[in-house]
Amino acid sequence: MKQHWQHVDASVEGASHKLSGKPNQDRILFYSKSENDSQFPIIMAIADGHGGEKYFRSDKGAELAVTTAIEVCKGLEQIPWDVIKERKNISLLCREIVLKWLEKVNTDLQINPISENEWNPQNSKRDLIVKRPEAFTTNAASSAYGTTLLITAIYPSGILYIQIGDGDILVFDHKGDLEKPIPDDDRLIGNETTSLCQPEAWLDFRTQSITIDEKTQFPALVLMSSDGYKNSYTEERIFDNIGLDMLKLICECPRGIEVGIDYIDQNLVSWLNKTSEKGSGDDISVGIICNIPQIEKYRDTPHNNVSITKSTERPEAENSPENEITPQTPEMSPGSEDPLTEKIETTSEPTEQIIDCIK
Amino acid sequence: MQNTPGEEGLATRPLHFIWICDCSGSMAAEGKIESLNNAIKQALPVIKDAADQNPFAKVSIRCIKFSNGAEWVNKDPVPIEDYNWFDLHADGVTDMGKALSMVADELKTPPMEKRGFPPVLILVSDGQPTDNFDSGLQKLMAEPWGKRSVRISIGMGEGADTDVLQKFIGINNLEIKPLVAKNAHELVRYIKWASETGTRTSIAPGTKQEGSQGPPIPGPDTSSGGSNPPDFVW
Repeated sequence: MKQHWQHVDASVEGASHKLSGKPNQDRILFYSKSENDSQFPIIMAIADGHGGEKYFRSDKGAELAVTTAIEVCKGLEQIPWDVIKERKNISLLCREIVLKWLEKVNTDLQINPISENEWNPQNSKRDLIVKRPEAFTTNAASSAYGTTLLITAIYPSGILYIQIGDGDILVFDHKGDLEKPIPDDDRLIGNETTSLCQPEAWLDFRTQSITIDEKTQFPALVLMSSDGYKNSYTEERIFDNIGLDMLKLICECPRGIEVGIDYIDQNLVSWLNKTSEKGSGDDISVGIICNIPQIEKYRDTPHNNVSITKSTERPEAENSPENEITPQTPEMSPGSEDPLTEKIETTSEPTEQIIDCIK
Repeated sequence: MQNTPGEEGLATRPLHFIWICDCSGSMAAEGKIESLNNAIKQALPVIKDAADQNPFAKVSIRCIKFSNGAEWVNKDPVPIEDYNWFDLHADGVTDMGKALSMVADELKTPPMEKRGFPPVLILVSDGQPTDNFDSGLQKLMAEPWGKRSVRISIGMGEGADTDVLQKFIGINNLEIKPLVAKNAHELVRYIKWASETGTRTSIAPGTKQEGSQGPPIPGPDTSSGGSNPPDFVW
């Protein structure tokens, strides 16, 4: 069956950034081989520049990160999925993303050398003492571009989810069940994050590959966001429901699913602005990839309970000498009996929101 | 217009500010405990002003005191705008390690939120711990939020154990030394500085960082700050 896809994306300057005069340091970029999103690959990338004095070019770093992500993932188009999904190849892919990003950073540094106004050695010296001594001497210039990166890359026979740093990827299937394909990283707390600018950053990537076959279908909706979105909510449970709310909004549109998605597209910026104002104050970027046939299935199926599936840490990753925490998780198909997968049953509450997409 | 999805769950990010106060018997001498009560009362508006720089932070205050054991003055966080200081009284020994251990219990996630700002911990003491300080500190630093907290320590008088106060700040934080107030006037100044700096450091807007050692704390101004009124010298 020919798949039909549609996407929505938006990025807003954080309410606190508006007050302090800082620019939006998030970037989001979408790629589809065809204009109507009907041909593979379909790729969405979000990057969240760190901001702050040490990371004074992180908006540029985020821009270079999403561009790199699209370039690298687009380059896999002709490669068979069975090759792409191999763990060692995903590791190489992460390494390639980092190296190409650094290449772009170095090019940018040559074109636009760091000026005295940008560089504050006093701050860098303090960071040197407080944090990681090697960072200043080997990595100071690329640190200025520090950013996170999240990627969803959809190919005919599988999906790659790739992430370094904070942010979220929520995946909803045609039953409305939520899967979080990227395992949690306990180091991501408060304002702290892993980053593309760290030495050997590829070791800190967290990945997941999902093979699409007779048992495993494409998701109905993938929602990706920078951390300013989740940080606006008191409870993760409420944040987790947002994707499902979006799915319901799309399905409740009397003029059809495509119009429902357009409705979200028209409102997303104002929703994100309000979320930042009442919540974290941070920049927020959200990308939503919709699979129309799967959403039709969701719409045509009665729903009572939905489940949340979280990827969890892998023993081999825990024992890895290079990393404390779970980079490069092996392939796992949703719905398989994986003992390392935590399943949580939740009740799907009917949305109280009434869609107004007729006008 | 459609409601914003999840609007009912939106909230600004929490910042937990915790005073860790020495109430041992020696604090009763030379007006020290009264000076501490007075200094913290004067510092509360400073915290509020510092918090106002980031309207996306919700600052709440707690206090734990230690002497014979340790006890929360208020275990539940109270929003800064509603917080009233209850005067502390001095009596007993200096079970500082127990206080740090109890703070560690409250910094677990949950109840702490991962999305919060780094907690601010201000330790004030005039003496040497009488219990296992290292064990309490180790427990505190084993908590993700303990390790990432903004920690500032203030000694009162020459009897304060500056080695212990430096350990609390962190041995990696070599630029930041414990402040030692020699009189009530200095104490007010240092407590105000710690309150403002701790809060501002934690909630500096739009700043992320790699690594996991907590935000860097700018150093204090330890100049005399003008003429002192007549005072006890501790």
